[in-house]
Amino acid sequence: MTRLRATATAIALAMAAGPPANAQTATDLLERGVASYSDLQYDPAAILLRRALDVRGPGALPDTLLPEANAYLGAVEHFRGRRRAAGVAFHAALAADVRFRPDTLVFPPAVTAAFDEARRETAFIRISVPADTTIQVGEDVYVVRVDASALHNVTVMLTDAARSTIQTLHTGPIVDSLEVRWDGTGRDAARLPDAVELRVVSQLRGGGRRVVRQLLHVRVRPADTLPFPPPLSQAELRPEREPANPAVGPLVAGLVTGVGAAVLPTLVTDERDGATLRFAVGGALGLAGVVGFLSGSRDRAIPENVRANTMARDAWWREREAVRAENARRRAVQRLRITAGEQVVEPDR
Amino acid sequence: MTVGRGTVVRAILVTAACVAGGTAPAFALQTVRLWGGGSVAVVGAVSESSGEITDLSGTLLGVAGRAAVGPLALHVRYAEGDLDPANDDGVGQRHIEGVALLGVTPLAGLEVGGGPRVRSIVRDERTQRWVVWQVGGRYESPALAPWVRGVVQGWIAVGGDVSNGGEFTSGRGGAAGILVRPGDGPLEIRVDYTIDELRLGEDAGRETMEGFTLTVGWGRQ
Repeated sequence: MTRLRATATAIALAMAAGPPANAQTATDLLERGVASYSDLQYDPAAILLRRALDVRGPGALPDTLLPEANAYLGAVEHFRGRRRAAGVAFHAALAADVRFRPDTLVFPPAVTAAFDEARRETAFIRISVPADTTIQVGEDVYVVRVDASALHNVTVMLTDAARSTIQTLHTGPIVDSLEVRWDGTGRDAARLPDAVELRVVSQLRGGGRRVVRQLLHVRVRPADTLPFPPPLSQAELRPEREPANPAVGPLVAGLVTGVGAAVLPTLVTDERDGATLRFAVGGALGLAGVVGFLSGSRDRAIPENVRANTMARDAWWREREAVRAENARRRAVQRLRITAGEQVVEPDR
Repeated sequence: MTVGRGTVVRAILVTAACVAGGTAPAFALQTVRLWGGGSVAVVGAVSESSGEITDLSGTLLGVAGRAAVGPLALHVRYAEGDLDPANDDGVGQRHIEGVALLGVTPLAGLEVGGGPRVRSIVRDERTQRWVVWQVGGRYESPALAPWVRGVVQGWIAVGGDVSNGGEFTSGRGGAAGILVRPGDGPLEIRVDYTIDELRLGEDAGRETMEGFTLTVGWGRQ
């Protein structure tokens, strides 16, 4: 009786927390039905409980009370000798919560035994998936929990919108629960569609089947890539050339030696004019001086700065290649964001 | 001819030995920079003796060398060859010449010094030998263009002696050339225009030589 009082207390709390008008009526009906059951007044209890369960809309019983309410209704019908109606009520309790079991401290063994007998005929399924999660393909797995009301065979598969199978995750019996794992890959490494369905197909005792569909929205998350290093600015590089001063020295030296060759005979002897070919030597010297002047007056490279800039550019390029390699590695790892959509129980077939 | 060549060689060797003996202790710890090479010169000469002028031309082959320690350098050069007369009725001559000069470099590129110049002229089995003591300077410019330098030098005689001819009175000469050291390495290629004149007293005679010399050498500067 302690458990019975606890149930009544839970119903009272649900009444206090629920919507004020209709909900209070539904839960009040439930409370009165439970009280009638406790007083062994099964006929009024059956009426009250059915009325409580029949309320729809905002005043309906909260989902958390549906298994309990149906269990009381099943117990009432059991004691009224209406075994078929009791079985229907027990099925409804399991349909509301596949993991529901009547409390053995509240219900007598005759009721729990009738519940178990009815449960063994059922094949209700509940799929539990993360509401919103991200997995790294190849590294993480997407965990799906499947709860069952009773032992039966199921097939858990992933399909696209056209119900074409992408991947079969499990085929075989389920006792009361099952955890299946999806690695995030599609069919033959093909790109996954944006929306996929997780389908759990239960084989019913009568040969039919029941399908529960869980919609999953799948988005490929772009990889978090590293930014490339900014290009080297002029401020980071040293000047590689410097303006040269006019190379007057070579010019003067070339002209002096060239003129020297030309006037040498005059300085040495007054008896001979000198060979004309000496002007070729003098001209070559003068020309070399002019070449030296022109080449020496050009901008000149600064080798140490050229080396330093080359090292800086090489370091920048190595850093860029390292970032490129890291980004390629990151892009190769696909990340999926998976958001759970609605869960639909299809009519039995 | 044998007499003339021997005299020139002896003069060069004596000078070199004296210089080497005198400078060796002072520069014993310094590195000796050696250079050597060969030369070919195309020369023209005017030989005047007792009013008779003979124009000659020919080719001289020679060797040259240099040994330098610190700022001091000893230059030696030897060349000889036959000079042919320009006219059919002229007489040719054998020309042998050697120079040994000791120089010092007070400023970069400028070298001053002096030494003996010995020239033997063998004509009709008769040898006329000039021994001239000369002083002068040589300037080698910095690089005019990559690997290319200019060289100009001049000298004047401060004493001399002539055998079989008369009394030596004066002498002077000079050269200007272009020098190439590929890659600033040890190979040296040089083309010089040279001219000099030696005179005897009372216009008794003179020897004027002019030519172009190609020298190819190897060594440290």
